[in-house]
Amino acid sequence: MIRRLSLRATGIGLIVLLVVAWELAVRLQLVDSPSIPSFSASVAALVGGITDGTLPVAMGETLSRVLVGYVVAVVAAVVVGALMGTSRFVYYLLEPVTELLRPIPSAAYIPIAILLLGVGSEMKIAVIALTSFFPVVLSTCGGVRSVDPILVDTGRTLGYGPLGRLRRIVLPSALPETLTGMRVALGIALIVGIVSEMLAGDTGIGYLILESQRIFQVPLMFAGIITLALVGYLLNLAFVRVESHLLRWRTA
Amino acid sequence: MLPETVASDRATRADEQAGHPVLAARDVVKSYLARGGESVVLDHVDLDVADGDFLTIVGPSGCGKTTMLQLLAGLSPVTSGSVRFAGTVVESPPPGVVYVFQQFAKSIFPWRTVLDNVVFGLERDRGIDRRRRTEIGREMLGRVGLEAYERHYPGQLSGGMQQRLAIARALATSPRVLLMDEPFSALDALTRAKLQKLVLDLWRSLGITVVFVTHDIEEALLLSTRVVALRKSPATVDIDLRVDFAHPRNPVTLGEDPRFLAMRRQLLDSIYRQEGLSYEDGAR
Ligand SMILES: Nc1ncnc2c1ncn2[C@@H]1O[C@H](COP(=O)(O)OP(=O)(O)O)[C@@H](O)[C@H]1O
Ligand SMILES: [Mg+2]
Repeated sequence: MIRRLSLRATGIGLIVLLVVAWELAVRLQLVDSPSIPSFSASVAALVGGITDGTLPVAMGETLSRVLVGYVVAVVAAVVVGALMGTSRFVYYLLEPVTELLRPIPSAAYIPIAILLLGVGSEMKIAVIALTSFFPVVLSTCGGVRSVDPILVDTGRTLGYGPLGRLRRIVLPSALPETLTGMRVALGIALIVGIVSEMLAGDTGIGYLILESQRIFQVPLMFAGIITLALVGYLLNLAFVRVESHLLRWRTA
Repeated sequence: MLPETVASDRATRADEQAGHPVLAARDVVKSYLARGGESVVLDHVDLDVADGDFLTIVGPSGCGKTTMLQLLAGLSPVTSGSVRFAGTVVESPPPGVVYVFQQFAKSIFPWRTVLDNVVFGLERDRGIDRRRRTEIGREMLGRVGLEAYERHYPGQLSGGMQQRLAIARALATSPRVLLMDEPFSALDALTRAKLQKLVLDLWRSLGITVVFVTHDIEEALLLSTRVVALRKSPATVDIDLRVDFAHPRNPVTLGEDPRFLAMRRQLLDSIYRQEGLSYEDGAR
């Protein structure tokens, strides 16, 4: 226990060290660019950006699109993944398409989406949903296919029809895999949300970061990046909490 | 125990008394498509299971015991012939007949607590609210001696406890027929003896019909009112024995009863013959 805590402390120590190095490098002018702000200047911009509402508003715009696209993707992917996992026909119908589309880097969908949907929120939500769909559909399908047939037959002998078995046996049994896909998808959704804002439109934290860089408000750019790091960290933390609660039977 | 359901069961049971068996396999053929054609596992098998019986199917490994039990459960379709439960042709698992799998550990839902596993079969029934379900679940856990574990997850239970859980879950739905495929073959001798007693007690106190599969002839004679030995490939009924020792049976003294020994010998003979063994081989 003490050993674990002290190991934890060394990791946090490294972060502190990096921050101090950043601060010193700028103050001692080891970095040869006048446009790189110190850590303290970035923190000052962060505090300013939070109090005047710039950062919360931009982050809110981003997060709302990311979460809407993500939730749509997860719901659709669980349904399609369950169909692919239970029906051979649907599996052989959709598996080639998904395998073909999956390796395309998420950001590459954005130019197409701009052509079809413009530069507004619809386009961004659509790309977020499309790209976070793939990991969830594949993991759910895999989880559904690997359900133990004895569990399914137990449902049959206890009187459950196909829908009841899907809801109470097949999907819960595939949940660990679905959640693994959902975690990957959450990362993708955040990245795609931000990149789409950098490429199109004038809202969100991605736009704020790129625009601050263009107009040489570099401290605000760093403030935006720090905000993203914190929000990303908290999102992941929340996800892990929910996941370990749902899968508490594994550690019991 | 479960007063309403059992009472309504008694009503339907009355017309069974008119002589209809609770489960009836008629002229059942079961074949699988194997490489190089069709392999027949069960060949025109007839089997009537009388209401309240404890019927055990024995036979050499691979002779079709599991197949037969799955047909009776409606888990697997017959190739030809028919299976009837309470007079109605079985096409899918009928309510009232519950199957306990040989691989019982794999039949338990690991994400559900012990109590939530037991009430699983009741959640389908909208007529039973949550409070009543919990009541029935606790009652069943009490009967199999797991009341202290209701909040545990199955992964925390021993093999014997998982089997108790599987049995309790099956019985919670108040079935008329309990089908069990080699339920104790994976357990150590002492656990097996305890569970044999438990199943006998449940059978006697609930008045259910049990169809049991084992390859252990002593176990078959200790538990059953009737033992059916299957002949191998393709399976037909080789021996059909009524086992009328009074209950409760003492496993130690029963093993010394000359009638027990005669039945044991008759059944062993059948199995040894199937396997092409002579007693000389068997005794080494
Ligand atoms: N799903 C299946 N497909 C093909 N053959 C099977 C299948 N299930 C069982 N069999 C065959 O049927 C025969 C009887 O199997 P089984 O009923 O499991 O025997 P037992 O339970 O008496 O050991 C075996 O030869 C087995 O290989
Ligand atoms: Mg078997």
